[in-house]
Amino acid sequence: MSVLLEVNGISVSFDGFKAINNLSFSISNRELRAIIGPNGAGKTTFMDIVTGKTKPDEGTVLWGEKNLSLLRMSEAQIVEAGISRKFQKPTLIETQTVFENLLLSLKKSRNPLSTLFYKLSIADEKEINIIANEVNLIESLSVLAGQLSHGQKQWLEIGMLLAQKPDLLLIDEPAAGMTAPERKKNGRTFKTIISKSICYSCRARYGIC
Amino acid sequence: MVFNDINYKVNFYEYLDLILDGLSLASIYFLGAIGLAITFGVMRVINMAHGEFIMIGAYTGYVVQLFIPNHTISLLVAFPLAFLVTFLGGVAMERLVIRHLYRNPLDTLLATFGISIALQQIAKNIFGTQARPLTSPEWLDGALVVNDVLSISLIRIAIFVLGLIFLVLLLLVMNKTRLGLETKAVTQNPMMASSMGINPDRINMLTFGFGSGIAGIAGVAIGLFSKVTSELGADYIVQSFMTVVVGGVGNIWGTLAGATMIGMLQKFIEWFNPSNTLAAQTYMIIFIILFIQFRPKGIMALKGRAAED
Amino acid sequence: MKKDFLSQIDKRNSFFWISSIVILFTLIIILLSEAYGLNLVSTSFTKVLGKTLCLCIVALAMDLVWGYCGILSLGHFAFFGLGGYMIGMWLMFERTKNIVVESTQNNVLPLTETEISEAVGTQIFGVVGGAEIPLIWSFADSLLIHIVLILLVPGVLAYIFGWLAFRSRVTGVYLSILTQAMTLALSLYLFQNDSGLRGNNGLSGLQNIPNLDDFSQAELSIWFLVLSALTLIFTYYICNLIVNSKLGNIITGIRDNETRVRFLGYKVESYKLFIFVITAIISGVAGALYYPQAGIINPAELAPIASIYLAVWVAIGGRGYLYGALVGAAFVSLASSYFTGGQIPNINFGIFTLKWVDWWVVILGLSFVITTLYAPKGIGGLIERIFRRS
Repeated sequence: MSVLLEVNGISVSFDGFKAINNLSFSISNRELRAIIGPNGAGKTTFMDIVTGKTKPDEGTVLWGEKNLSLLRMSEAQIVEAGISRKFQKPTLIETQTVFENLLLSLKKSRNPLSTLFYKLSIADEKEINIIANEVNLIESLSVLAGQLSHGQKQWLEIGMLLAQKPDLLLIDEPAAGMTAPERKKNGRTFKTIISKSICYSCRARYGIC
Repeated sequence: MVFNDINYKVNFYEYLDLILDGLSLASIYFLGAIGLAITFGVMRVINMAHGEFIMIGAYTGYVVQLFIPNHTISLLVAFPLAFLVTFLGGVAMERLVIRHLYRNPLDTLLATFGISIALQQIAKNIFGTQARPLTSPEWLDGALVVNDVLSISLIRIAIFVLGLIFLVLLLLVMNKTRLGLETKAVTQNPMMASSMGINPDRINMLTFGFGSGIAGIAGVAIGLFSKVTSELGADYIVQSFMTVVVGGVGNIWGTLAGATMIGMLQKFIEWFNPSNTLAAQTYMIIFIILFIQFRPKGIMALKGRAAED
Repeated sequence: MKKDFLSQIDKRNSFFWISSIVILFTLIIILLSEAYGLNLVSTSFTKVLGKTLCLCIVALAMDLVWGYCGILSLGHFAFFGLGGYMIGMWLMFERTKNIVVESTQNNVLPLTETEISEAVGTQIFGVVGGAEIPLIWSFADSLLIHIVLILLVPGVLAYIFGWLAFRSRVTGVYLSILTQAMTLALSLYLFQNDSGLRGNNGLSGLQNIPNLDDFSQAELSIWFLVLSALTLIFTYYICNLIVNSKLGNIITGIRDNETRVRFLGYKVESYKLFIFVITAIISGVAGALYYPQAGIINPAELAPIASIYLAVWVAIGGRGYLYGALVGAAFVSLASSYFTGGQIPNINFGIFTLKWVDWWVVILGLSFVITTLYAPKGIGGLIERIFRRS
């Protein structure tokens, strides 16, 4: 299996506090990895670095077969390269409907002019329906995202990641705020989508991965 | 040889004069911005009516002089009175308007702008459009003459000293008093602060009043060297915000650094083309816009995760 | 998906309603006008209405950039002014040139190019102690180039400023202060005598359109009214298109949760820049239509306070409702000219006489405060609430 993401010796510190010290990590295609650790261990910071939100003080982050350095890319470019991220706290566009949230996530041209003249096609609508079905939100397509329950928000965000058809999913604490059966379903969903690579962070006590 | 030496000395004093000019402009900017360093810098409230508090301070000085002809005594009365008037104004404004808008800074901008134009117009209705004099005491009229090239007017020294006093006072209040500590606690985490027995409402009210009061005192000082009109404050407001932003929000030293940089820079640009102060201001602002591109968080930036939001 | 009546209006049909109202309004004014109708509406009032339409256009731009994209720009009135300067240069140059040529028509020898240019230079720049025509007036002879400049100058300035500001991720209040700084710099620059644009004298006599001397101001005012109305409708169409497209979803997404949009793979900076530049161009066009009706433009028009007023109009009308921007701009600017026009009798309270001219601004200012406190969604929000209830 080819290595998808390779992180080499990264360190980052904030005002003298070492958030990550010389971390190396790699993940291959069709692999599911869980990153666990107590609060402040640097799980989120690690994802920040991979997705371009934070720049490390040292180390390299290489991506894909061409070994692109992610450190030189912007957040949007990293997403286009195939890495999608779910935040710890559900991060949605709360003033828009579930449908619109999923629509914006679909893998389409991200250029302003093409979005201006975009027309909703039947294929796209179908795809949104499939994803909504997958995350149990088919009934709530016209509900504003802000009105969903916490667990539903988590699901919507996962759905939005699926819609992007990424090669690597970074999912920060996906089980937070979910009920026990939901967590089980969560685990099953990840197993079914493991055709792609997933990276998965959760607090140790959940132990569902 | 001798001639060269004189030339060198003249040059030296000219540079010194330039630097002193810059410093005195910097202290004016500092005076204008210092109240904002609290209301905007610490509390993150965009108070567009800040300039009007400066104006109210200046008019207070003018009114006091109508009753007390002795300029020295009137000044001594005017400073605390201006503080009191604008403190109360600030408290009233915080209670009535700003309190409801903490969640949305951009809305505060609009509401306080409304207050700003209303106050300006009220001042115009009461005092008329012509400039009112606020005369400085005679002992501030002279200049400290070092030699033919270099002389410093006493009023500039006084303003510089006043700026220093403000700085020390503010640092003391923010770093050494209970009010300062509680203010920081409330701005960083109001929920946590209130659960520790601090009343955020009271602290916000007092802090805002304090910042406004300082603007009032600054107004008296600014009125001494510029004409007191209803637009006095409006002339300073944009520069004051820039001073705070350039220096780094949330940091009183930053405001000092910002004021020094802007003041020096403006005098320096003026020096190249003394006939055109408007152009100097234009270039100074363009420089600031560019500067913020490279240091969006200002000179004294906070780093790390805490600074992200 | 069920949608209620108002969101229907708000989305697709608002263009139909707004354009119908604007066309109807324009036709009525023409019927009542001095030039083409019953002579019930004076020429000066026609100009006020025409100018109000232009203010509606710039308010639309402001609503798009602030109400939808979340960028509280305090610089859009500067773009408006720039548009005015661009058309003003042509108007003033061409008219002065015509006068110069006309006045020497009876000379034995026709003037040479240099002589004309010198005479025009003295006429225009005499007030600022110059006689030479500055370089930036090189194309003032060509209406076509200046029409292009109306779009280009605000557009390019917005592009440069926006590129710098968005790239370094200045957001929220800081961005507002930065745009305000830009506006201040621009107006200070124009205040200088050697800015090449006549310093604080500004450009004047813009109401006289060169080569159209045979037509009266009454007729011209109607033409400009119609032109402004058509531009307003066109702008509304464009804004409506943007707001209802996927692009509209993205920009409101940026307004509400910039991080999410960025991590969906959208280059937030490009989108902001796109909207910023488009709205700057719209503002420039609005300004180019406004100042020929106003007759004069000077740097004070570009002062930061004007841009804040613009934001307040949109706030009162209702952010995020396109029709709200129109209502706000029209309502506040017409009310202002009504109350400060001296037509309303002062109210005497015995010891105190309320002079509207003096106290209108106070009332206006306090009404901003009340709007932000009690009706943060403005008139648009109130309308929506009334419709939703019924």
